[in-house]
Amino acid sequence: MFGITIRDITGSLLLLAFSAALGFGVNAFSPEGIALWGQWDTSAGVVMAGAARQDAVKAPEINNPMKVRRMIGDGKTVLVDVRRADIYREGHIPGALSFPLHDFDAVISQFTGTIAKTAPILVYCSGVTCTDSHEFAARIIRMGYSQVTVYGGGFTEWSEMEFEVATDAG
Amino acid sequence: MQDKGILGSGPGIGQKLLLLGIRLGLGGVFIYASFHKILAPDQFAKVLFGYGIFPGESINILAITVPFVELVAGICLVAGLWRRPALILINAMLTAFILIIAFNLIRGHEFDCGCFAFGEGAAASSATALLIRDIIMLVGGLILWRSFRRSAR
Repeated sequence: MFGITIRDITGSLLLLAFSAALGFGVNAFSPEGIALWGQWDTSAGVVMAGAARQDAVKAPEINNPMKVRRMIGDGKTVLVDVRRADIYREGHIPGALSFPLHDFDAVISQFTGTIAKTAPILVYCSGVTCTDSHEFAARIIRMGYSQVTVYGGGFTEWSEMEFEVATDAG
Repeated sequence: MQDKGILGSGPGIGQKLLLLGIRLGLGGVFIYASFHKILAPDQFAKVLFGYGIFPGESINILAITVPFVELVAGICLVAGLWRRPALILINAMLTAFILIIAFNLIRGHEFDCGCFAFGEGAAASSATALLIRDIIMLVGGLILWRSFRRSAR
């Protein structure tokens, strides 16, 4: 068909195998390498490829909005919203502090100056397709914060649950 | 006019230049399109997830391998090495892209192409433009294949 010979098919398969081998090889040694299997089930939390490196930092997730609500209610947990500041102002979980991942370098000194390393911290962003919460959590864990968790459902789930939303800047 | 048509028995100089342009252009586009995916496989995996077609088990494997198929096939086509298998892979990928984009357009599923950069937006109008772009590239690829069939293997 289309003048494709057995030799063409063999050549294509060999090129495909070579490319795949190259891909797996580069992925294994690259610092940006990803795991062979990712987390792509939205009902199981934040979807992401996941790092290939065994020493990669990954914060645990809380994916029960009722539990998140209880945690916030106890007043001990520091809730951190890492979405952009303008989006935060449009609506956020009550009591959340705005520390946009986008401005990490600018906001981190204020973060470390006000929040103790032992404080329980819950980080969220827009939802299960957003990995900014995990990125922020990983960065502060590497800085020595010991009780960091991510709210996987994020603001999308929170508002879908019709829980209270704050729209002020505080 | 010395040039013979695409259906003619042998290409003239104008047609040879056109075929060379298609070969270098198509190969170059695939090489260029592979770079950002190779540099950020996690983001490419997320783009693949956003297409809403691939099973979760296949997403990371595709994100690791597809950019290298694009790169290797593009280099082979430009360099003229293994050009027939390389063109088969490129035309197969273009056909797959067209089917995937068309499927998502028909069912109204918005997606980020991730073709040449991440975060290009997911507007339906740009998906239509993507579809037209890929169809034009596939037509180029098929014209090139006809010329490969005529010439020595």
